[in-house]
Amino acid sequence: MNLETHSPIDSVVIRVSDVTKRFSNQVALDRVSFEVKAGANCVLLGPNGAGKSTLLNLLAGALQPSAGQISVLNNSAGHPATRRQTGVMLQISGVPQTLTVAEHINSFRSYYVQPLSFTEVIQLSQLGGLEKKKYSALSVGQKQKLHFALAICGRPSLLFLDEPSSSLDVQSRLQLWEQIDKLRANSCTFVVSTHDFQEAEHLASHVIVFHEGNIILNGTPEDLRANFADSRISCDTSLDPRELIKLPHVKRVEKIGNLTRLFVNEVENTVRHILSEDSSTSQLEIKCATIEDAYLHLLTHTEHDN
Amino acid sequence: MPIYTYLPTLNMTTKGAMGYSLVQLLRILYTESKLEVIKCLRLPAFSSSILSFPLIVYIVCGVLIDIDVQEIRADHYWLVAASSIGMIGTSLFGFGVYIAIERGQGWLLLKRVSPLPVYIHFLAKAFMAMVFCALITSLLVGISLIFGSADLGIQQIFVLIVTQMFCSLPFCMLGLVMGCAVSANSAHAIVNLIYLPMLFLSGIIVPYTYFPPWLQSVAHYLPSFHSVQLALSAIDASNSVNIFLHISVLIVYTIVLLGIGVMVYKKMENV
Repeated sequence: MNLETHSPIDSVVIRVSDVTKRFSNQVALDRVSFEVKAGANCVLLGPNGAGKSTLLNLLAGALQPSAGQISVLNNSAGHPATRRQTGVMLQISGVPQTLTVAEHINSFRSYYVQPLSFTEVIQLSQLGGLEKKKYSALSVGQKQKLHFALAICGRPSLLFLDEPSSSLDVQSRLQLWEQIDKLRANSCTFVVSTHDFQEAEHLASHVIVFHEGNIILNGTPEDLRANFADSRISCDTSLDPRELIKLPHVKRVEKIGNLTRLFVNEVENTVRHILSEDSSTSQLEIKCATIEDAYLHLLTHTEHDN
Repeated sequence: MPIYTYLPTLNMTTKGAMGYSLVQLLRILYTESKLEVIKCLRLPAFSSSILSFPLIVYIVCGVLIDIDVQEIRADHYWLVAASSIGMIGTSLFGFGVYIAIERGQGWLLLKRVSPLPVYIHFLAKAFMAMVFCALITSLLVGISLIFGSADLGIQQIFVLIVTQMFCSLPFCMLGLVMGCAVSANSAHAIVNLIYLPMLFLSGIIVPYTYFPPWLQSVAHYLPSFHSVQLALSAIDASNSVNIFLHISVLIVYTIVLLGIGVMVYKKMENV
């Protein structure tokens, strides 16, 4: 299966500069700036109404910014040349009900110069066996898969996905992520808006956190976790907590019965140190910091600061 | 991270504003039009109501009762009136209401962000309306030849079908304006508010010759009046000699409504 798309190596595919979007008197995005590099999987996080979907619509060219500049694949967002290289999966409530899966896919394939073959689209979107089914006869999850199929059928080098796995069961969600990984390995860039932290953990190579129309974090998942969440190491050790707190990366130490609990922003070296100092250490348990922990921490701090 | 070579995918031989050659555009238009027709044919609520209303009008008024129409052969008049009801209904509901619904459900947005030139989407809908016009008129002609007393030659039938297909254009443009301006929830009601009075005021349901003079003058301003007169002329059943006036009025309506439709659409697009 030849899925290869073509993107410039390490080039910036999306450049958003000082973009503001207003709806009447309401500011949905307030002077937002960021860049996304080719091959990245940029995950947009934020509470409802934070501006994620507005941003996706701006990037896809469905909305116009009130101020600022957006460049997508070296063109303006929504430029015909850009649209031919991008795929968009939106949260839409209706697709013509009486057309079949095959009719929808072939219709969208006809818009592109070098679309994926029909078989490739069906395989990637896991719609095998449903080709002749009408849209109205599909389950919610199958409809979601068809929306994904319509987004990928043009062999895009840039994909915008708005909550792509929101209606999928666990197995379908894992399969979807697998297909996204496959496309990404072939140099497709993704911008994904999601509320699902598992999805963010799995997909993200770049995270942008929105809050009330502003970007409050723009970095890698590692940045987010390292700066806003602590990993937790629990163990039964004879080491003195007063010594442990002096270790680099250790932020807090608790002693609960026999168990010592360390809150750290770097796990490996701390564990190595504990084991080298006390080889009798037992009941070792590590809970790594998650994007969800960091996100919640970051959001709480932002709201507190405001 | 694997290394990929940058090979722009858009270096195809150019071709037009959207980067498609004429052949490609026509192929897309054909596919879209075919799917629009299939979509509506498979929708019983649409196809049955759009087909049945004119059939009922023709069978009741033109075949069973044969209601007299001053100075015009009644069977010919009711054939044209019923096919005009179908033509206007298809254009306003199949074009206008469906655009409003597609807007409401996000389908039009998905089309807008795809590489499909959006005018192809609207053109495909206009072709769908034309196909339905041809279908309805053919059905009515078939019924009139079998059960009625209409005597139409092949040429008259052909000219009538083609006339009705092209007369649908100003109503499709009216549908475009309404589809882009009103919400999905209110589109059906608002289109009905325009459709039914228009049928009455232009003398389709009640022949225009029965109207008092002041109401007859109102009819002259409506595109539906001119489309009926043109269709009657197509089968030599009109007293009107102003064929070019009817054509001109319909062209002006088409252009003006297209202009308004494009403005409303652009306003919607540039939010």
